[in-house]
Amino acid sequence: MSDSRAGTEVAERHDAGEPGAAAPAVRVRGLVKRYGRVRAVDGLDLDVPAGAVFGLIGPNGAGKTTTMLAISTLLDPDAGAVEVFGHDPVRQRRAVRRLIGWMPDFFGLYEGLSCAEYLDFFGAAYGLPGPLRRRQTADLLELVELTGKRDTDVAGLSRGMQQRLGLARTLVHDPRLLVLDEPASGLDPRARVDLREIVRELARQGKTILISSHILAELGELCDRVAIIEAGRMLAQGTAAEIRQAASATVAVRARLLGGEESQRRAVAVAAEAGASAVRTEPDGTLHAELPGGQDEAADLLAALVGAGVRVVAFDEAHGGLEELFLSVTKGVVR
Amino acid sequence: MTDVPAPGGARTAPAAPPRPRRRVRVNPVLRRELLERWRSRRAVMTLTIYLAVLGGIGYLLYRVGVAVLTAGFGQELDGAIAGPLLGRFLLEGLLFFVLLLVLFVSPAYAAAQLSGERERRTLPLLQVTLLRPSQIVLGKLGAATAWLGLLVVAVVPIGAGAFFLGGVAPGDLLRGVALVLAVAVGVAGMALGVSAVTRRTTGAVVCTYALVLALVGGSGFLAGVEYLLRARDGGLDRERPPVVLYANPLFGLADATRASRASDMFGFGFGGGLPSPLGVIAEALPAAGGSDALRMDARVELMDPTIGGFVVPEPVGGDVERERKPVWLIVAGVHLALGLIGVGVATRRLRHVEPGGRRGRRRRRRGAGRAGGS
Ligand SMILES: Nc1ncnc2c1ncn2[C@@H]1O[C@H](COP(=O)(O)OP(=O)(O)OP(=O)(O)O)[C@@H](O)[C@H]1O
Ligand SMILES: [Mg+2]
Repeated sequence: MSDSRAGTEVAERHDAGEPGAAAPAVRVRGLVKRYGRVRAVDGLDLDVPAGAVFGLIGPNGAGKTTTMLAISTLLDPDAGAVEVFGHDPVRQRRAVRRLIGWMPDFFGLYEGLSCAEYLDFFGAAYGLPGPLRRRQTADLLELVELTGKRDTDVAGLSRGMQQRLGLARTLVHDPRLLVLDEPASGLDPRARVDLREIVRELARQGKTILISSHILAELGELCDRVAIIEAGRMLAQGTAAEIRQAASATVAVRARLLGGEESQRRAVAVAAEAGASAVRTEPDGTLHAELPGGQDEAADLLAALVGAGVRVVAFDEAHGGLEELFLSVTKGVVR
Repeated sequence: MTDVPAPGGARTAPAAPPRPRRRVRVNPVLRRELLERWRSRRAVMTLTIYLAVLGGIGYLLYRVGVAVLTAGFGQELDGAIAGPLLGRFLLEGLLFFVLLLVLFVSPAYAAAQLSGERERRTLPLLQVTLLRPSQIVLGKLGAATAWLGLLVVAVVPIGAGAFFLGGVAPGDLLRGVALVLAVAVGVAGMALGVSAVTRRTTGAVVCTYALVLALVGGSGFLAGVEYLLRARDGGLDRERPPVVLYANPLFGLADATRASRASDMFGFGFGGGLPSPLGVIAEALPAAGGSDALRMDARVELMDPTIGGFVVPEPVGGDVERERKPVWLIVAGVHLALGLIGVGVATRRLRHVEPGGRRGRRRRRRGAGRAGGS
C-alpha cells in the first residue's frame, strides 16, 4: 500500500498546467446534466478568464452546484463540453484534479482528527511529501486564522471555523483554480467580511476563483465578473455594472391605489394594455408591474391609470439595490 | 485581517520538485483510520476487555471439558488420557469462537467504512483528490483488517495453552489462525463491495450479514441436500466433499485445526469424548488426513497406561500430510477471491460520485467518444 508515484505526480503538477497557460480557466459549452426528468443544467455556456474572481449566482435549484461538480471532475455531463485550463474533466481527471481546489456546500467531518491532522491528511491524499505537508498545514492555518485551533478536534469547531478550515483544505495542493460552492452560507456578517478578505488575498496571489451564492450583493463588489443562472440556463453574464444596465431595459413600478377591488381590476387591465408583465396586486391596494423600456413608459402608465379613473395616491419606480436586480433578472422558475 | 500571509510553501516548492524518494509511504486513508481509531482510549479498553473475555472463554472451556470428562470416567482424571482431549477441545473451541466473532464483527465494521464515509459526506472530498479509487478501497480494507487481525492474533497466546494439554500440534493453531485471518480479509472485502453499492450503512451491514449467512448456513444446507441426493443414488463418496462447502469458513477451520469428527468421538469407546463445535462439519472432510493419524496416536497412547505425563504428539507424519488435500487453503483462497471481487466492485463504484448507475454511464461514454472524434 505504498505510493511511490504520488511524489512524481506532484512534481508534474506544473507541467500539467502548461498546455492551458493561455486558455481560460474554465470554458463551458452547452453543458447539460439531467437527473431523471429534471434538467439541472440546460445548455449552459460559461467563460471564466484566468485570474478572475467569478461569481455564479442563482436561486435554489438553479444548477450552481451541478455546474461546479462538472467542472470539478465529480460529475460527468450528459452533453456539452467543459475545459479547465484546457483539460477535459472527464478524460483527464487527474490533470484537472491537480489544478482545482473544490469546496462543497457542506463540510466533510472526520471526528477525532485535529485541524492540523485534517489538513495533513488531505495533503497526503494529494501526494505531498511530509515536510512540505507540515509547512503547508502551518501556512494555511495561519491564512484562515485557525493557528490557535491547530490541535482542536475538527468536530469541535464552529460553523464559521469549519468553513475556513474547508477553504484551507481546498488549498493544500496549491491549485490554480478554486471552486467554492456557497462558502459564505451560514456565516455571520463579520465572518463574511473575513472570508471576502481571504478570497481577495488568494486572488492577489493569482488564483482563479469561481464562487457561488444566492445573493448577488454578497459577490457584487468581490467579483470581477458574475453570471446569473436560473433553471440551468444563463440569464446574464458580465460585470455587476453591465448586468445592472441590461436589467434596466425594463422598469419595475409600484403604485398605491384607492377604491377597492373594482379599482384594482381596472388598474390591472390598464397595465396589461400598456404592455406590462408580472402584474400583481396586494390586498392593501398596491399594484406591481414591470414595463419594457424606461421612465417614459412609467410616466405613460401613470397617465393611463389616472385617465381610466383609477385613484392613485402614490407611484414610484421600484428601482434597485442588487437584491431587486437579482429578483428582476431571475424569474422565480420553480421545478 | 490586515496582513494575510500567503500559503507560500506550496507555491514555491513544486517548482523545484522534490526528487521522488523511494520511501515506503503508508496509504493516507489507512493512516488516518488508524490514527482516528486506535489512539482513542476506547480502542485500548476494547482490546483489554476482549483479551479478558478470550481468556475467560479459554478457562471456561477447560473447566467444562474437565467436568464432562470426570463425569464420563466417574473417577479422578488421568492427565495422560484427558490431556489430549482437553487440548483439542480448547483449541477448537477457541478458534471457533474467534471465527464466529470475525463473522459477526467484520461485516458491521467493514461495511460501515465506505457508506459511513458517504454519510459523513467525506467521500467526494477524497474522490476529488489525487487518491486513486483503489487506494481509497485498499486503505479501508487495511483499516478494517488491521483491527480484526489484532483480535484474531490475540488468540494465539491463549490457544497455545492447549499445547501443554496435548493432542494439538502448533501447526493446528497456526493454520487455524491463518484461515480465520483469510476469512476476515475476505469478508471485509465483500463488505466493502456491498457498502460501495448500497446507499446507507444499515443497508450495507444487513446485506453483508446476509452474505455471511449464505456462506455459513447456505453452503451447509446445500451440502446437506447434495449428500441426501448422493445417498439416494448410493454411495456418499467421502473423498469428494460437495463443492459448496469450500465457501464455508467452518469447513476450512475444521480442516485447518484437524478437528475431530463427531462420529469418532462417539466411537471412542470410553463414553467420555468431548464434543467439538466443528465435529459435524469435519465429517465432510476427505478421509485421508492428519487428524486420523493423530487420533490413531492418541488412541494408542490412551490404551497404553505405561506412558504417563503429557502427551505431545508429533501427530502429522510426513507421508500422511502429503496426501492430504489442502482443504483449508482452498477455503482461504475462495474467501480471499470473494474479498477481491468486493474490492473490485468498490473500486469501480468509486470512480463516479453521481447517483444512478449503468445507464447513465453508458450514455456518457458515447458522448465522450463523440466529443473526442470532433
Ligand atoms: N443528486 C441529485 N438527484 C436528483 N436531482 C438532483 C440532484 N442534484 C441536484 N438535483 C436537481 O438539480 C437541480 C439543480 O440542483 P443544484 O444543486 O445544482 O442547484 P443549486 O443552484 O446548487 O441550488 P442551491 O442554491 O439550493 O444549492 C435541482 O432541481 C435539484 O433538484
Ligand atoms: Mg448548491
